[in-house]
Parts: sequence; structure tokens; C-alpha cells
Amino acid sequence: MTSTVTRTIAEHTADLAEWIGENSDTLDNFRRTVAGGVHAEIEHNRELMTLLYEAGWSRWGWPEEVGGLGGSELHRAALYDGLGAAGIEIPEVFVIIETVAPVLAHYAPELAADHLPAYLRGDEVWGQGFSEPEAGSDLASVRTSARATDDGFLLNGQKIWMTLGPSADYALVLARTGTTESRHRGLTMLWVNLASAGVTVRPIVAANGREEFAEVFFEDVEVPAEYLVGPQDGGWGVAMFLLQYERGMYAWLRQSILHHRLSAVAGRVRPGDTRLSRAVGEAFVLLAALRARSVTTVTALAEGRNPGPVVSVDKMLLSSAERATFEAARKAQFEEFVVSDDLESTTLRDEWFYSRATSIFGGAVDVQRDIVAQHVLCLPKGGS
Amino acid sequence: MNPDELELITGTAYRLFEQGDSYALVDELVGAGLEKELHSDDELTGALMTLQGRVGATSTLLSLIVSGSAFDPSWTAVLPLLGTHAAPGQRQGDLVVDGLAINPHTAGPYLVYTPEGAVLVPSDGVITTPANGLDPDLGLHTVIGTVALGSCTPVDGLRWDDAEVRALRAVAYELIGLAERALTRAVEHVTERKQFGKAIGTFQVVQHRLVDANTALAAAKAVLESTPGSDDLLAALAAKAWAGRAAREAVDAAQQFCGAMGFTWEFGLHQLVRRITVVEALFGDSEQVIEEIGNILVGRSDAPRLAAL
Repeated sequence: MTSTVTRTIAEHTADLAEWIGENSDTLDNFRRTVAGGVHAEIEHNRELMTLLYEAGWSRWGWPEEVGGLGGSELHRAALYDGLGAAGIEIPEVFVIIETVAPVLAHYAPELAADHLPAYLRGDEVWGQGFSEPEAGSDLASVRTSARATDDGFLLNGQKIWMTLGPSADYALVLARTGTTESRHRGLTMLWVNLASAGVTVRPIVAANGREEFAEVFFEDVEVPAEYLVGPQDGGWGVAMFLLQYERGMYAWLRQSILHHRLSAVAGRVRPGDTRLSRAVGEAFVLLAALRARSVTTVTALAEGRNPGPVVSVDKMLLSSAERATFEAARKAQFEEFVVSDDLESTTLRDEWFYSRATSIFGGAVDVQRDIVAQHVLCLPKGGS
Repeated sequence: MNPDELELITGTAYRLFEQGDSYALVDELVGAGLEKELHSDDELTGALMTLQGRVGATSTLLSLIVSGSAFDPSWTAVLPLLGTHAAPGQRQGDLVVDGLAINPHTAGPYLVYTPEGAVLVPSDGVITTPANGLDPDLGLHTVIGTVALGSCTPVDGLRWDDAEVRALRAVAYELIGLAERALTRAVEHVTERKQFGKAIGTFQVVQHRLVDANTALAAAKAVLESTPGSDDLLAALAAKAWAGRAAREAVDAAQQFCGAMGFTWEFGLHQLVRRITVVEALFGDSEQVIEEIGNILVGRSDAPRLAAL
């Protein structure tokens, strides 16, 4: 292994691949999916999280003051790419790291120092509480209220579509500290212990039959003052900071998984099957474009630059790439997909269903199109 | 190449494109000793080909790019027939040439690639016919003939595998320029044109169609820019697929949103429709390329990760 201080991302990537090779027997256990749903997956992956933490790989890309080993977003990107390339199933908990942890590290380093190492070791799970029944793509309509008290906030309201919510110990919650009319100006970001009195977590069974999300109810939940993330009434800025990661790093993480999935599909197609070759080709050009765009976005994030409205392009490409990859997979296994109940077919169905949600969560693609129309193409505004 | 140099060269190219002299640019570039850079500097090649598309110009740039560093400005490279990127020459005892040329030099010679290498063919060895067809302004010709190998001059060190990748990337850059031209035209029009009391560009259905063309455009640029100077065929094919799709989507949207005016001869959009349709078919159109990519991946049982961190 080269000196960790001076090595380039390419060297870091090569060192990671070497480590994966050396630990292949242990890691084989994580090259497969497990039965039993989201909760079973989280439990299964705790051991992998511990392995990656102890070997240091998951600590790269996080500042030392929050328990990391330094480096940038490129180090995190290299981990996701390296795991995917080696056929290791990337734990879904990394998705939440890429949305919540950058916010904690940036706006609440003390909280990050307390919780990030625990998360990376596999001891904690977090959720992201943004969406509400009446605030989906229109996030500024959030109603969950946080009333300032002498020693913190009193939280009341409801969040929905919290990924990993049924297993989460803590959540990052966007709440209203101003009036409803204050829209995006009266919002505040809070860190909430989901074991607090007054919190009710209800799993939501998704279209694929899995408990992918939860709805979370807050009834006079006391949130201590030190759980404030960023400035009071400055929650919109914090949320926008998060969204560039959700649209950028998440897209990168997914492209790693999707390349692995598409390789498997390509291996399954009989040479000369034109219909399936086209489906594989279509998915691949989407993935190649997604990967190319994501490199630019990850590099921008690593250099502390906001990638800007163009990140919406990544999100649109991701949605199309997800769909195209799992459509190719479905077509390549059309019979098992419909009739088989073995783990492989069940997993394919679960993932295929979930791929159809990518165009919805994190800001629906239709809204991304509006963003590009106005801020990239500079088309005239007006009632539509 | 530093930004000042690049700007100087593209400035000159813009002037020559505007003058409409199809041969002047390559003469100028070779005169300035830049032919080597045009085979190694993706940024320069990309900038010139994109500009050619953006201006809607035609030149002999592709001859230079395909020919490799031994290039002489009197040469005309023979390109594959539309819809394929197979070498235009085949050795079947004699050399069988069946391809296209853009703005060929009548005095010749022609540079003809075969799967084995490349040779110079004297211009009287082949029949060159103007192929005005759909896009008479492009300078497209067919080049057909059977030539004794003895009358050809081998050119050492040239491989079609390298040339086709450079050409695919170059054509992708030109399509990016053409897509930008079409998209700009459409955006201008929908911003100005009012119906139902407001600019038609305020309608979401109009906006989203243009955004989708822009997404394809961004995808094409990203694939090219993340693999600078790459000799990887898959990356070149992916870029070509996206650039062709971007140009097609942009010009189709432009045609739709420019309405009846856009359908007139005078409005001039037809020139862009013509150019994009022909250039997209050079070296294989998006649909052909995507099918080919699929075949390659199926053959390898792998979907490689192209752009590096």
C-alpha cells in the first residue's frame, strides 16, 4: 500500500481493490442478496460496515474532526465504485450517509463527531425526514412545526417516505419554525432521536412488498438545543445543501450498482438476440452518460463548488438509467421474473419495482425538467 | 494547448467557416503545423468540429482527422458508407473501394483504409460522383472503384481501429454543435413567438421537450469530456449515440415548435434538418450504434465503467 497521505485517487482505488482481493473469502458473504426484507439486509450488512470501518475504507472522505481519515468526496466515490466493481452489494445505509452525513459534518460537526463513527461501524441507522403528506416535490410547504422553548424545540407533525425509517435510530428533520406563509424562509433543520417520547414510527410497505419507508409522527417531542443543525430559520439552505449530495453522490453510488447489474444482464443474453442487445445497449449509454456526468458533479463537490442546477441533469439520467437497466434485466429473465419465487427472481422484482421510484423521490424528474428549463435553458417563466 | 491559442484557432476557423471556403481551414491548420495536434488534442479537435456544427459549415477537417499524422492537405480520406463504421476498402486480390468523401480534391489522391492498414489511391483509380441528395451543401460524394494494389502507395502506421474511433468522436462533436444550433434556434423561437397571449416557451410541454434534447446534449458532452483522447471504441460509440440523439431531438423539437413558418424554405430550418440527418448517419446512426454497443457488451458479458474518477 502506498503512503496514504500522498496517494492519488487512482492509487487509493488500486489499494482498495487489493484489500478486497486479500479479503475475498470474508467479503464473499456480501456478494449476495439476503432474504427477509430491508431489516434483514441492514442486520446482514452491519458486519460489512464494521469491516469497512476498521480497515479505514469507509472513513476516507470524512474530516478527521468527525471521525474520518480526511480526503474528499472522491474517496467516498472510489469506495462505492470499488465495491460495485468487485460485485459486493453496497449496503443501502450508504445512501443515507450521502444525504445526511455531509449536512451534519458541515452544519453540526459536534453531532457528526458523536454519530458518524457509530453509523459507519454499523451501530446506528438514520433517516431523512423531509417529505410530508402535503409536501412532496413542493418542499417549501412543510408543516411539521418546531416551537422554540427555553432549552430547545418542541416538535409536532408528521413525516413520510423516510427511507430506512423502520430501522432508524435518529433522523434529520426539516421543520417549520415560522408561519406557514413564511414558506422556505421559516424552516429549521433538527436532529431528532427517534427513541424520544412522542415519536411513533410506522413502516410503509412499498409496491414491491418491502418495508422501504416509514411514516413518522411527532407529538410534543422535545428536541434539545444542541440538536439544531445549521441556523434557526435557515433550514432551507441546509436542505438545498443536502440535495446537491442527494442528486450527485447518490447518482454516483447507484451507477456503480447499475454497472454491476447490467454486466450480469449482458452475461445472460444470447449473442445475436437483437431485441435484448438493444435493451442492453440503451441501458449502457445511459449509464455511461450518468457516470460521466457524475464524475463532474463529484469532483465539484470535492472541490467545494456547488454543481448548480445542472445536477438536475444527473438526476434525470439516473432515473432513465435505473429504468433501462432493470427493464433490460426483466426482459432477459422475463419468465422467472413473472413466475419464479426463488431469491434471485424475488430480488429482481424488488429492484425492478424500486427502479420505477427513482423518477419520483429526491424531487420528481418533472420538477427537475422545470429547473433545467428555467435555470439552464433560461426559457420564459409563466403559468403552465 | 493553452486557452489563448485555442481561442485564436477557433477564431480563425469561425472566419473561414463564415467565408464558405470548404478547403481553407485545413490548409490554414496544416500551414500552421497543427496537424499533429489534431490527432492528439481532443480539446482542439472537439472545439473545431463543434464549431463546424454550430456554424452549419462544411470542410475537409474529417479527412485530416481520419488520416493520421502523415497527412498531406492534398489527400482526401474515404469514409465508410452511411450507417456503418467498417473500413471503406477491402483487399480482395485488388483493392475494392466503396465509400464516401466530403469535399474531395479532384486531383487526389484518396486515402483508403482496409482492415489491414491504409493505402493512397490515385484519383483516376476510382469514380467520384457528387451525392447531392438530401444535403447538397455538404459536399458529399460517393467514391467507388476496384484498383490494382500495385498502383496504390501503402501508408505505414495507420490502423482503421484508431481512425474510426477518432472519426466517431469527431462526428459526435460536430453533432453536438449541430444540436446546439438547433436548440438555440428553438429556444429563440419559443421565447419570441406568442400564442394564447404568452410566449409558447412558457408552456411546460414545450419546455420539457427542449429539456430532454438538452439532456441528451449534456450526456454527449459528458461522455466525450470524461474520456479525453480515449482510443476506446465503446466510449466513442456511446458519445456518437448521444450526440446523434441530441441533434435529432433538438431539430425535431425545433421543427415542431417553429410551426408552419419552420416548414418554409425561406425560414431555413430545412438546412439543419438535412445536415443533421446526413451527419447522424455517418459512421452509424444512434439506433445502429446502440445495437452495436449491446452486441459488444453481450460478447464481453460486461458493462465497463468508462469515465475515471
